[in-house]
Amino acid sequence: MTLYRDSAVVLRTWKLGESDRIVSMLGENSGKIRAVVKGVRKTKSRFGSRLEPLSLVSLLCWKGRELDVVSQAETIELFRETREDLDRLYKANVILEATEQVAQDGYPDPELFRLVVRVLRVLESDNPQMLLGSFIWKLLSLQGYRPQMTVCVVCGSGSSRAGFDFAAGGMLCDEHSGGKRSSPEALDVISRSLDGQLAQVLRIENSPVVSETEVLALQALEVVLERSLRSVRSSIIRH
Amino acid sequence: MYTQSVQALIDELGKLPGIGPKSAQRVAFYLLKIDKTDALRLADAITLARMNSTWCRTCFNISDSETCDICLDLKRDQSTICVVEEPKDIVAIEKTREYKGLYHVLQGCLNPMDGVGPEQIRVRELLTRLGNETIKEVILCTNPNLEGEATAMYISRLLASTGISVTRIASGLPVGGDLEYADELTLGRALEGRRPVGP
Ligand SMILES: [Zn+2]
Ligand SMILES: [Zn+2]
Repeated sequence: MTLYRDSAVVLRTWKLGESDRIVSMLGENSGKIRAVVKGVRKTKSRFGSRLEPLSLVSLLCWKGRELDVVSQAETIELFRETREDLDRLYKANVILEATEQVAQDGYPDPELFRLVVRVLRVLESDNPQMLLGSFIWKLLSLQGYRPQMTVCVVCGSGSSRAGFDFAAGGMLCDEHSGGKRSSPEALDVISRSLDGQLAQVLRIENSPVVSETEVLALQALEVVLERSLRSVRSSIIRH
Repeated sequence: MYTQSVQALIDELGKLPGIGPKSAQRVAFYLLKIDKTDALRLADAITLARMNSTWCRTCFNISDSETCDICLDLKRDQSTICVVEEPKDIVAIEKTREYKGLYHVLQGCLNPMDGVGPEQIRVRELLTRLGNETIKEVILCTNPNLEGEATAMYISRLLASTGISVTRIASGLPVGGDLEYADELTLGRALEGRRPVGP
């Protein structure tokens, strides 16, 4: 077996046997990693909390055929504020679940890794309201989903921005928006998030556009994943 | 490949937690080789335990009657409830002999990514209890992992306005371990939860 090193965000864990866990991680250079952590559920495990979801770690792993095995893990960031605040934790769960769903095994995607780390850092330090919506749009754009945002997907007219239908391919004009009406502000946020202008978008606060953008983002993600996110459905933490 | 009855045994064993198809086969063949009386004793033990066990109607611990022995024991402190995820956690806490109050078993923990919300665990039953009984303190003793912490935070927020004292079990270093191997979160919390020492 060969050893490899990587930095990784822990996305999710499952119990395995008496005291082990399987962890799903997003590695900077390895893409999605699935690895066994032996003995991690014992209170005296040398891994301790390091491989809990949401941790950013520096890893040393044995490459396996199906599952890798974690040899060593060191903490880079804990995201402690996020762990201890229900609102942040809800958002973190959505971010981690969405990432775990779109990331592919053994397909290196350093750009996705950088996006996730950056978003988790912003969540930890500032927790801006627009974070979840804009993250999901940027995530979709990284996966190659670029809805048409300048002209109506039905008639090609660029005169009015009145609606949005992700499944149909993007923006709708006044005439073709039917029941799928959206505010021009939300469409602008989506458009800028897709382009990666997160810094500006994240400044928007106390506006109905925040939840509108988030709802549209979650609907789009549902179309892509062909199911809704569990962490949203169980909505344990929020409100 | 196998006779119908052996295949049925392998299938049933394979449904047990932590037992994959290979292990199920191995256990099944072991059971076929042992003495018939031993095999029947195992079957009886499963039948008896299953038929006689139920959930305590008050605390949802495993019990052989409607109310478990702990809930019936009037010598225990009736004003404190320790909230745990599973009945086996009660066993672990009882072994410490440090705790003399009552328990409440959630039978799980909040796990957003598995879609487990408050309706799937016994949170409502806890609230009902707190409404009926004169409880002064609730100790949140869920596991010190992301799901257990989220569960504890969720319950503490529900109880915030009740006037009941809500405490969370401390995180600290395992006795007998070396400080240098401690992970940062545990060590950080251990430092935060430090206490004065005598004399
Ligand atoms: Zn049109
Ligand atoms: Zn009981």
